[in-house]
Amino acid sequence: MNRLCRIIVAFHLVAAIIAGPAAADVLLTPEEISRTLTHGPWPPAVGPDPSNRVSGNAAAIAFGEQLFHDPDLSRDGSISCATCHVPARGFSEDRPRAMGRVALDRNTPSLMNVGTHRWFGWAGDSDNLWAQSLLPILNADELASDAQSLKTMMADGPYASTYAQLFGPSSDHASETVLVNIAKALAAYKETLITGQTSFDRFRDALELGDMARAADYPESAQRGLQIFLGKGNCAFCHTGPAFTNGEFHDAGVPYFIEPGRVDPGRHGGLKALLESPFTLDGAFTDDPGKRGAWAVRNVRRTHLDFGKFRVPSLRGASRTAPYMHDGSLPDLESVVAHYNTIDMERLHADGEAILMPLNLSDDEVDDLLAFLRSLSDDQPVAD
Amino acid sequence: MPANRAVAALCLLAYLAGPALACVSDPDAQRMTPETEAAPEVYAILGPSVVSQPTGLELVVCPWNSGAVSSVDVDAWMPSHQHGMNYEPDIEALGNGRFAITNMVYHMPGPWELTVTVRAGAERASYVLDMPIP
Repeated sequence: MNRLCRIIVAFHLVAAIIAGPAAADVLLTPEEISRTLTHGPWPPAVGPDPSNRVSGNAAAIAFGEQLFHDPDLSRDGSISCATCHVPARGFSEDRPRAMGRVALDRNTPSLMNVGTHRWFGWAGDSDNLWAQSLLPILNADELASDAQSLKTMMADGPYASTYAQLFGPSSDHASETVLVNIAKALAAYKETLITGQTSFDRFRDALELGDMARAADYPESAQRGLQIFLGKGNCAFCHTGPAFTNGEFHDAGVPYFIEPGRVDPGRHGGLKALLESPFTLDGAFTDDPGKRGAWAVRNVRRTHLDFGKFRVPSLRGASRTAPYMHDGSLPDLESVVAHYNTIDMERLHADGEAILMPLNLSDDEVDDLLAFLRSLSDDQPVAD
Repeated sequence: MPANRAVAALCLLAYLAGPALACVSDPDAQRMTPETEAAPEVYAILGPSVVSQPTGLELVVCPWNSGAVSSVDVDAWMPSHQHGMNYEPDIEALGNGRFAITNMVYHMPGPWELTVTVRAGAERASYVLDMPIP
């Protein structure tokens, strides 16, 4: 927020304090307004990824989009990235757990706003988008390809010319370098997947400008839901900032069991994969000599509490990405609110997440919270 | 003029109300609370209070009878939530008892507590500072 905006907001907050909430035509208190402002503006100003030299490059974005939809990226030409990351579903899909070559263990995470993340995937196996993009390509249960096959594809197929224009002739590159370059083109495309302005954003921006008349267009039910979100719901502890996520990992009280006798280690496994990966921002494949962002992989802590924690998802566009949670076990937003409303404390770490406890919201409060959550998804959906 | 007198009085008050001025003159310096009275004064000059983004602070350890400071540990946690930070901060000695602390990440809004342990020879002193993150 620039200085002028701060002054304007401060003026209107003072005016609201003096006048009281009723005169402002919105239900929020000045303190709630102040906290609401932290959830914007949207979309954020995000510059090119310095670790990816083709980030923001129009030709790379178009190339990445082609690759994203091309089943030839898989070993037998049977599946593409878009098979699971369905554009019309917020680049997610409607089955609880993803189906690659076999049934996978987790729900397909949405790719919307993925360029704003610090950690990628449900467990944060990667600290950058291009590294995350190559994991499903190589995973034997997903696209099941390999670096050498991709090098052949870039040398002889219809992509040879585009690849060479962006990165140089693939014949000059080791197969692993070709793999990383393909992942960087995919990342350049995924960075463009950004949700639009919602009715919440118009409300929030009106508050920032002190335009209480325009702010009052936001339905009262959604305003009451926002108050619950900021207050007794404890939602805003983890769902912070413009993207409604703090980007970190928490135990949300969802069972770890994938099936009897087999558990999902969550962040514990993600950190193991991350720290063994050669494709981090601290590694040799970044294009940023300054290695900006590498502090996270260098400094991240490993604790026993990482077990069973999963990345806090953004709430933007969430209405389009059911089912929910890392295992897709909650079929709709009503189920998610019911989960936190009656959370099973037995499923939480004994010494973690002290803020989670049954919310005991009334039916009306549940409806209000849902109205608010849905207002984060009423932007123009991404076309199929 | 009364106005000038008022300004002068305010300046005097600000001077008197500032840090103890034993070894730090930064008006934003906050004295940390020691575990024991015999501990040297330690001040924290906090960086921007941001949620889930790396920020930092400067630490000033005032002269100590036990000698030069041999090490400083810095951490932060949320007592009410029973968790700390997900990252190890980096600590750089700047000389004269000053330390630059970077990569502090407060990943939730709310009341955090900054904790510092200072060692000099065989001596050790611990400190806390309440740190609300909006």
